[in-house]
Amino acid sequence: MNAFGSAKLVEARGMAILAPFLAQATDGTLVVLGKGPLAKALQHTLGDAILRMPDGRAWSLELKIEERETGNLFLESWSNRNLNGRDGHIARGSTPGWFLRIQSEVLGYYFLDTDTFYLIDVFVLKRWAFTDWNIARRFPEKQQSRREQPNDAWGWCVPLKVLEKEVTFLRRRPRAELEATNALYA
Amino acid sequence: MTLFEWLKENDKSLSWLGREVGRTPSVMSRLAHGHIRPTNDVVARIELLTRWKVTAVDIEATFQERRRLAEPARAAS
Repeated sequence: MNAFGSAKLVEARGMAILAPFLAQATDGTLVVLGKGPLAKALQHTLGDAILRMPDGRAWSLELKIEERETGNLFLESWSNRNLNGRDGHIARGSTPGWFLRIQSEVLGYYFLDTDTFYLIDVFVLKRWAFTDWNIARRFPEKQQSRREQPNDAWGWCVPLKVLEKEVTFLRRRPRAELEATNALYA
Repeated sequence: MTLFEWLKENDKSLSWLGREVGRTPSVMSRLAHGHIRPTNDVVARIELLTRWKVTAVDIEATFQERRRLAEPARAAS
């Protein structure tokens, strides 16, 4: 563990809250696709987790967890744009970001500091973003700088106020809701 | 606060902690003594269970302290 707030630890902190929350809030069963030999292949199409509802319906979820809420969502356009050097680009090319590749039905974006969890319909979000490249025309593409990031990641910072008005989302307080039912602590 | 201090203060056992975290008491004992460095999943669960009285920093400090104490013994052998 090289830092108190390392990206992997932030993710683990978020999942420790989101996993029981999603199961409790829906009465469903959450299967996190983070480990095992099939994890990468499953994550590529299904996202980070599958939520099986009591009626048998399964939802695929992409989960993003950040330490601090800034009023924006970072929708990644390039996971590794890799245009800083010719040789590196010839060797590895560029890798599209998760927002271009995402196939999940629901995007869950959780901020630890405010305990705020946004749930967004991915199809509606992408249609809003990519009709006439709405997102690229209105929001500058920025390099990710918030945490240690070995890749040359880029994306659009979209204000939550805009998304609330033009896309809509659900907003929940997972930790507070679990605390209210004493499901989280000893 | 160390994990042992929190367990004592809250009248909880390593077995209880292991059940809550999904690890055996033996693993929890090694973790609490600083013999092993836990995964992020386990650290996050411990932070929640202890309401951040025991954090990643505390767990890492125990691990580093154990490592520091073990150095002279390792060097001598």
